[in-house]
Amino acid sequence: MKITLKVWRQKSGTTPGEFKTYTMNEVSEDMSFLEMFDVLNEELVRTGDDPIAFDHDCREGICGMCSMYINGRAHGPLTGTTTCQLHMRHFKDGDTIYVEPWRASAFPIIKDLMVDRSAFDRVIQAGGFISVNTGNAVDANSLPIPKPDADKAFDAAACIGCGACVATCKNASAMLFVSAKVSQLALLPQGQPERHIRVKKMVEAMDAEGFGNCTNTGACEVECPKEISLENIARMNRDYLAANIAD
Amino acid sequence: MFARHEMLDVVIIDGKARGIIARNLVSGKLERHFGHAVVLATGGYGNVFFLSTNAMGSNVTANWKAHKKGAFFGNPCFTQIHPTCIPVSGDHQSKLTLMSESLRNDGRIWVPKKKDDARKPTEIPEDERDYYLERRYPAFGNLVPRDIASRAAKERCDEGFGVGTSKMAVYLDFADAINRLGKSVIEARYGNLFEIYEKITGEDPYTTPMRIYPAVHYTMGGLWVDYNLMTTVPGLYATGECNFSDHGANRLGASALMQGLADGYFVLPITIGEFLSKEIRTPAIPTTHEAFEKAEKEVEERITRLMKIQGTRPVDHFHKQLGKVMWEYCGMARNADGLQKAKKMVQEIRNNFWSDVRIPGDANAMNPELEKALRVADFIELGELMIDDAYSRNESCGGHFREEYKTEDGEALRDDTNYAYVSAWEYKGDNQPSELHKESLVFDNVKLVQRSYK
Repeated sequence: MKITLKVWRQKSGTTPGEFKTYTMNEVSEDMSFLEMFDVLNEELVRTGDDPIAFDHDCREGICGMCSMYINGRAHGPLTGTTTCQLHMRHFKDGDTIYVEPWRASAFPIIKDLMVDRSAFDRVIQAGGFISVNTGNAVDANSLPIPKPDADKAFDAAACIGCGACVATCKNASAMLFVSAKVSQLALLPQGQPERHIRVKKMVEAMDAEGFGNCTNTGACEVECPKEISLENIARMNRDYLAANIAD
Repeated sequence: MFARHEMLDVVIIDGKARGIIARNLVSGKLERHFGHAVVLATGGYGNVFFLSTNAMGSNVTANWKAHKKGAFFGNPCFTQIHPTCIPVSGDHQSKLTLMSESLRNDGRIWVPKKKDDARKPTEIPEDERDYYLERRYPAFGNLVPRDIASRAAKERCDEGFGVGTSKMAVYLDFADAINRLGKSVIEARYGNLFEIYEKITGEDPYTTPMRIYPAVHYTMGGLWVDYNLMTTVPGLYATGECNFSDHGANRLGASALMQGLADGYFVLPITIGEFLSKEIRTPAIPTTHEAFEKAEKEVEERITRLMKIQGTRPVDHFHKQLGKVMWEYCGMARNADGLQKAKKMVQEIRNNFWSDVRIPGDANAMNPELEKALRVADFIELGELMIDDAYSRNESCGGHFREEYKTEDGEALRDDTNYAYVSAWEYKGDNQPSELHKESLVFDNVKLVQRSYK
């Protein structure tokens, strides 16, 4: 396949960026989107150009590093799919594809398509620990958890922290991410002792990082590669309210 | 937390590990960090093969630096090749994806009985299929251990019975399980895996068998540690996959999680106190100490040397070359001639890398090519040690299969009289052969036997 790429190039967060055009004549439909960038980068290195910086690591949809905005959509055209799992067979010969970084003031650009998402790390850290006894391993079935609760907690825990929700939100809100991280513990017995303090601290940290507010548009849920439900945002709001009343 | 930092050396003061040199990957600046002890939890080195199920950033650099500063490397040649991965689709392939082991509970593995059978798998009648695991291992069938399942797939493909465009794949078929249990049961059990498979290959495993092939998944070898998880360098600890312990020559399913939890949750928190209790009066050592100066300078010189080469080929070119050699000669099957040949090839790759690699950009900025180059330089050195280790072990044992040492029906043949030991390699300097130390495996209450899966 012949693919024309319009890629956002930006040397650093302090210099202006622009789209540059690259033509690739032999893209295999079995390539992943990132493998196409590998091939392009090898070519750029050989010809003495600066390769395109982009984040990636596990390349199987679980680490949350890949973060490309493809033709105006976070992680590209497929639902429930990260960029690394997007394969070129979903594009056509002759296509032109625009690739941009996540754009949000809380995610400053490092270089090209690479943005600094350490704001998410700080939000998670603000959540703190859960009280759990170490020493001897606990019996696996000593704490019964209803299956629907376990399933919901698991679905919330599927969030990989990629930031697609922020990138796609018109307010650059991080509510879907933070609410998933709050919910995965709030739904389980292990998360109860610190339930109130956790939600307050995480919301506080989220606001301090400069993410926007939630206006219930739901774009985040549509673009989330792990299909995290908006229900989590409702749960977080309720927990936050309860925590403040309890004080 | 130091995100986007990479450890590039360990700092030793008076024989004890006292800190690290790290590179800030965003600014490119080298940093010094002091600690009374250093704990490595850096994972395995499967990416020495270029293609593996590991994340792209996984590397051996921290471990390798520790090794060069005195930590013995245990059983480097013991690598696990996992039988159920999605096959390579072309030269562009950057990594391999694992399809969970659990699929073998309900999937049946087969190849056509006829060589180069061009028919679709669903068109091949039952009596023209070779369910080779069920045939060779009637007692365990599709559930034989990973090393055996992997070698059996390689054997069929090497004989010309492989499937798919590359002919380097076998079928993992769920048709029987779907007939027996219904599609909904299979969906509940493996729905997420089937979805991943469909995304990558564009094929629907509910209606056509999956194609799978073995891929590098885990490294049982790693830094040698004692029962307290301390390496041979006092104060330097290694936990999880980066150490050599727990798995011997063949890790079994789910035990990597077990090791991560055991090492991190239950062992190290107790044992590191043994070392730290004696350091309670040791004040923090300022990072202006000469040992930090020296270590940082060495790292800086290595980076400068790499940046100055300005050759013609990108880092991945050498990494792929190295991976091919390791996979071919030090992968699922090894033999003395091949290993000798591979050693020369790796030395050649090393020379070419250090004279012809091209790293664009600046060392004092975000530079992913430089990051890769620093890692590949260490992978190349590690590759040679893995080959030495595989060559020195004249037996077949778990993931280490030496073709010269097998039973009449092709199974691994161990030699417990001469090789019941852990090999712990000591680094002796650049271009010097490493020294092999042997830690005998002594069993008081059990008798060493070989398990049969027939």
